Amino acid sequence: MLSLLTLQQNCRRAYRRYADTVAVLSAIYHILRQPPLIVDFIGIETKLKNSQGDDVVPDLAALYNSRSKGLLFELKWSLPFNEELLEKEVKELKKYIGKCSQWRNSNGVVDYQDCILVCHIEDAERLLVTVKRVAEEKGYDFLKSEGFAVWTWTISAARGGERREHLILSEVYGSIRNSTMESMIKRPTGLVLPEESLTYLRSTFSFTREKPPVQYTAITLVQHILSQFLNPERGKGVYKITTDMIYEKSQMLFPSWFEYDISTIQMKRRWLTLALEFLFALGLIGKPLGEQESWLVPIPTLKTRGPIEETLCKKFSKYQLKIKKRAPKGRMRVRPIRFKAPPEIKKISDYF
Amino acid sequence: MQELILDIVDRTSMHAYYDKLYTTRKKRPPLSALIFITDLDVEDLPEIISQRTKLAKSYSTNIENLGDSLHRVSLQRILGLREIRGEFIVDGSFEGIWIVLTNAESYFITHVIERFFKKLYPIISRIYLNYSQIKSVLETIRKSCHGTTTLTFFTIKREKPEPKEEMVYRPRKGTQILWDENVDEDIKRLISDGFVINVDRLDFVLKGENDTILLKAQIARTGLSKLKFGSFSTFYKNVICEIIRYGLDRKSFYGERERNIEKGVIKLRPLQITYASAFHNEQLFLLAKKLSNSYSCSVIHGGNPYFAADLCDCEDGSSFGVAALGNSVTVTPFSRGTPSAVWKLLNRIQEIMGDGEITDVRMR
Repeated sequence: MLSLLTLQQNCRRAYRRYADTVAVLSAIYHILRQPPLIVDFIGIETKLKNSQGDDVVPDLAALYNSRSKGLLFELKWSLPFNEELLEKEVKELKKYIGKCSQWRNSNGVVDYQDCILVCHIEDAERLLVTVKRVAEEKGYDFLKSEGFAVWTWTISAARGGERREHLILSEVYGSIRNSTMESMIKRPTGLVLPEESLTYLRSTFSFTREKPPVQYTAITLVQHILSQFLNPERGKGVYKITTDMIYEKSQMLFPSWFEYDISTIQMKRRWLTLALEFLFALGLIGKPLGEQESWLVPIPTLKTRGPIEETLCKKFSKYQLKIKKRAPKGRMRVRPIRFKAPPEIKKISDYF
Repeated sequence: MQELILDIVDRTSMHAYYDKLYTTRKKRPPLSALIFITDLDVEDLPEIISQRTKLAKSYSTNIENLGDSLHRVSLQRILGLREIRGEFIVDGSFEGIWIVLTNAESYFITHVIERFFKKLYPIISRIYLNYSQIKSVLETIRKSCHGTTTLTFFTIKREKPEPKEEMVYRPRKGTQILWDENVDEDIKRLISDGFVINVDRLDFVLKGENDTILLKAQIARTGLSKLKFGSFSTFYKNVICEIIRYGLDRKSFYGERERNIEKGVIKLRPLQITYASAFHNEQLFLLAKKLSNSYSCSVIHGGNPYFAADLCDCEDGSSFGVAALGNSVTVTPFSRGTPSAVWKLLNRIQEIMGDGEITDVRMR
């Protein structure tokens, strides 16, 4: 069992890594839109159809060379340590291979499209080993062909004020067929993203397409969404808020929310519901009796003397340990399932 | 004891009363003018207080309408076993602004009036000025009366974050009073010695065209101005009105900065505070620590030496992204960012990091 300290560190690391990955997404989006234009079109979470007829939604999709060639960016905030799971992640990239349709051009198709997988430099070594191994398997030779690349991002460390910190993208595997981008990323320093990618551009998006760690969604809710329900005239207090109201206010935090279909809306809503349940499990918000989709939210929800992610991760880690301690020791035994009637919900007034 | 302001029955008598009081040489508390931004009507105050249980327990008011947007307010605070009572005039002649005028002792101003209005944030909020903004206001005052302004002394808050063992920092604090007219050199010297400098308030003498003293007054970074000697009418016209004009201009500058979408593209309207030199790790450590105390703060990078955090103003509901890199701090309002909250946050950052230059960041 992991110690409380390790759990807390993992929780904070996941929160920061996801936040930085969102910053990378914003930075790539920004750089592609800067003159001289490298691409003719850039779409965030644009829905395409792959050669099997399935819907695919990369984090970023771009068109260049008079909208005749495509670029797909897939960002991963964290890659699994388990080899099998990592292999599964790599194999899933196959969905982007083959000609995709429904591109934003006149005929909806492109001559070819390249796929770029972007991850943190810490994950690169494990990923490359797996990519090289999977590339040898039948049906996955796209991984060693031109048009597939792995880029990593890192924030350069500055020492003693010698130079500023920068967000840097480097190509660690493969290559793409867009010569401008390829020459930019192939520089010895890598692609040094503009300074604003570490400052205000961070606030452009709040989520990538990939499911965030629950603590990230919870902190985003506490900081940017729940606080908006504060009525200045009423002041601090407990507010009754429904999931719909929260989703309504959160929409703008999701990239390209105005283009979403029902399944994406449901997915994003699930993230929010999960985060609300997480806050409820930690005792930070309440639930009114008998109302499924309502929450009793104290505003401010979490006021601490230190950074809130530390407090939240501490509470979360303690909760995780408590749950694990409750689980029966030893080998799991199969028990017969006995159906019970659900407990009757009583109001407190029924007892008096 | 506060001199009773019962003689004030309208605007004319107010001017006459304060003119008489501050053109005669006598030791008395200065006339303080506090400027607040609000859309409230003064007569709504008792209702607002009654809605807030904690506030209603400690404070009570009695309001008398004098007409012509003037109100006499009697404010009482229960502080422990003591009861502190005082009076002030609220002038609401400027739209969206209250001017609170009082010749009470500074204790009443600091512990009753300022605390009371602080508790009413964000319905009522203050204006804040940094060193360059105070200088800019003084320049406008000088031009408006075709005279000269002589700075008599500055009060500077200085703080030196010093590294101690095991990454525990104990700042060296202090207030320094500079009597020199040109303090810019002294400020530069203190900054080069590693101090964080805030110009807290400065006193000045306003002289007319024939070198006669028109006013002896003071401007503080909280927008509080004090008349020590001179005509109240001159003070009102040349100092209070100029601060209000500058304040309203700043209010519109800080307004409408929320993150929004225009033609499918997310638009941000960040602000930047720029400093003469790059930040030290100790400064950023203090920034993270102090911002966490006054805001709900989630830190993404703690300052080694890049600092990035998301902040939420718990009283107002506004949220921001804050990043410190090199020699500048960037503040990006999120989905909600009221001018008062932006202004308050910029002031708080400058209190921690020292006075800088506030500029608008143009998104490319």
